[in-house]
Amino acid sequence: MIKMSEVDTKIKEKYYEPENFKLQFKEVLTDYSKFLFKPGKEDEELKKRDFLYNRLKSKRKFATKLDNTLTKIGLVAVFIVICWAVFAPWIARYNYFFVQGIDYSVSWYDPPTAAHPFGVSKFGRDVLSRLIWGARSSLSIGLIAIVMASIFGVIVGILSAYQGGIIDSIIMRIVDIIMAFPGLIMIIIIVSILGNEMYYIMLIYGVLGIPGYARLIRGSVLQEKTKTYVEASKVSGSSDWRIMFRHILPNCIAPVIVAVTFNVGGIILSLAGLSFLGFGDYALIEWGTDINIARSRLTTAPWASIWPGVGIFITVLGFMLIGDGLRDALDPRLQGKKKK
Amino acid sequence: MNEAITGKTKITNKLINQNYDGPLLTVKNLAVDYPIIGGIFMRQIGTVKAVRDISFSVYPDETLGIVGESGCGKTTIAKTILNLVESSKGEIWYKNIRIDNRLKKMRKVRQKIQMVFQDPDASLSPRMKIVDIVGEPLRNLQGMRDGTEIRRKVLLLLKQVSLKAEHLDRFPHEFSGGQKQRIVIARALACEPDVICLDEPTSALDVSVQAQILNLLKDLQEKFHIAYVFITHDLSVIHHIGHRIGVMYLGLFVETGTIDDIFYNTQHPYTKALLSARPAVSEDEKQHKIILEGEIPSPSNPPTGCSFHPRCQEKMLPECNKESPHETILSDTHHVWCWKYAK
Repeated sequence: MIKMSEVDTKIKEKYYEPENFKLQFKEVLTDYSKFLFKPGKEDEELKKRDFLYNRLKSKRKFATKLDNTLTKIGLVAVFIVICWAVFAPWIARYNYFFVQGIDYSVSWYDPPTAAHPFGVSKFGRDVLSRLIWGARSSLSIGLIAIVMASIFGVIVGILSAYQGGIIDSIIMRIVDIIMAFPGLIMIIIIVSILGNEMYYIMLIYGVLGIPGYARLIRGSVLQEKTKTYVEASKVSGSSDWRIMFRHILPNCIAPVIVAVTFNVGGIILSLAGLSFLGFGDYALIEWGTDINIARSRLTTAPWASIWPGVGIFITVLGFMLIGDGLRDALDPRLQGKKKK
Repeated sequence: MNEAITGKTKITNKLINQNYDGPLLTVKNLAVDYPIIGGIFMRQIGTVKAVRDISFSVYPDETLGIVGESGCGKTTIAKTILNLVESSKGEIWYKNIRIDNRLKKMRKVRQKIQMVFQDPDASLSPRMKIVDIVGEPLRNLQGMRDGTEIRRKVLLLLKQVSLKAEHLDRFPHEFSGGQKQRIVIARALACEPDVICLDEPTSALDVSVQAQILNLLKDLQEKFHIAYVFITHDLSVIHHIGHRIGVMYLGLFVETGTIDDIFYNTQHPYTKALLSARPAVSEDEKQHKIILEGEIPSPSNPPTGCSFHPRCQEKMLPECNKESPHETILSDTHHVWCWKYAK
């Protein structure tokens, strides 16, 4: 182990002085090549550099806290589903329009064969290809809706909690009103009024998600805004916006991140339910729609409805497991126990 | 003489940095009430009179100590000066600029009056790096935008409080209590202030670190000619650092004076009791402890007459529980509020 005093003062100045702060990036590009083929332990300068890097970098390692078997399973599951969604044209054997149309070369509800490894659904559609393409619509609707809901929910929640008084009362009563509606029935009604296009469904899920996040963050902001550092930053001249989003928000975003990962699963599940009931977008390949179509042949052709169900299962389970892992990682009270 | 500036006059840097002969900070008849909200309809059912009638002024290069037991309104005075709490009566002046209850307009003045809070642990935002925390006044009040420039300035500030460059990119939880308090002091120094309100800056630290911080504050005062408003309940601390002291009881001064007046020519019975409560070394001092009976009265319902009379051991005059005592001037610097000296 090298001591700080042994480190060459020149190197020390090079990295510590703010004038040279930008220099180190430039240097990496020019000087790095000479260290490429030399083991780090042999070179004195590299050793010092490594030591300096360890001194400078933050001690909080978030990734190490996620070290949990179940969380890893969740990450793998979500990774697989994201791969399906992103690389669908390359992975799936049949293209989008082919599996949406009618294939006359095979009979309906054929059992698995080499050409159709997971079997065939109604209209001769390939189950595997539809499973892969279905990841796209589920993920895009779920993620966009959740991003919308969480961003607006967080902004509304912080504003309401920080400003307090009459603004808080008004916002919270609106939130109460939205929360009082039964979710699925509300969505079915709105979809049947506006039409069952994908964008409407996204929008509705987004809007209906806002109250939950507003409520969630309001509680922690109310707790956080009484702390001394808020007063201290007022003394240093911060505006209300700066206090809200630079000081308070980073300190109470953890429960929101956990809620987002849980709710992605929830929205995907609810979306599948919506399309199972026949209110989904028919232009999309959807797991819920697939189950709905194949439902009547469940006993004779179970593959046609089980595989889309497995798709939903993997996605929702993946997000839930990640959410669980994140909750453990972000909760400081659990850190001591996990070290065993 | 400079004109008094109130109302809608725009406050510029020139006005703030002007030469001014009088006191840097003047507080006149300050009173602060906190409402008590309760009942079924969440109406105001009473007021806590935290500060009732306080006047003092702070001159350049001096330390004004404000001492008193918990709940007597010391912190409220500091918070009112910094506009964190609204005053209900009275005036606060910085040089010749009136600064009460107008937080947004007073951003310029904020450069010259800063505050150090009691708990260094809580007064640093836990998710921000030290560069951002210390650089915040520079960014907000002086309008610096260049990251490298702020870094350079922050490094200089950290060196003033004997911290090192490697601390720039760390988070507050990686520091000890004494280091955190140094960081808070560095932040207060960022805009070259004239007055710093120190709200019990040493009470959260252990004794050896307290001494370091006090010496640091003394050095900084000599170097930058800052005036301190030093709020504490520890009399030995104020003896070490202070020049003038005001002793507070239930939102009012009971005795003000220089160190010598208060410590060696004590007049008010409350000050005597406070002084005798200090940890004593000699056997002689230990025997003459004055032990006050009862608790400090509720500030929402202060006693009639002299607010100290229910606990006073020397009360002898009929006025004590009828009328509050007037200010009695014993010498140029030594003022006392007690009926004993009023006649």
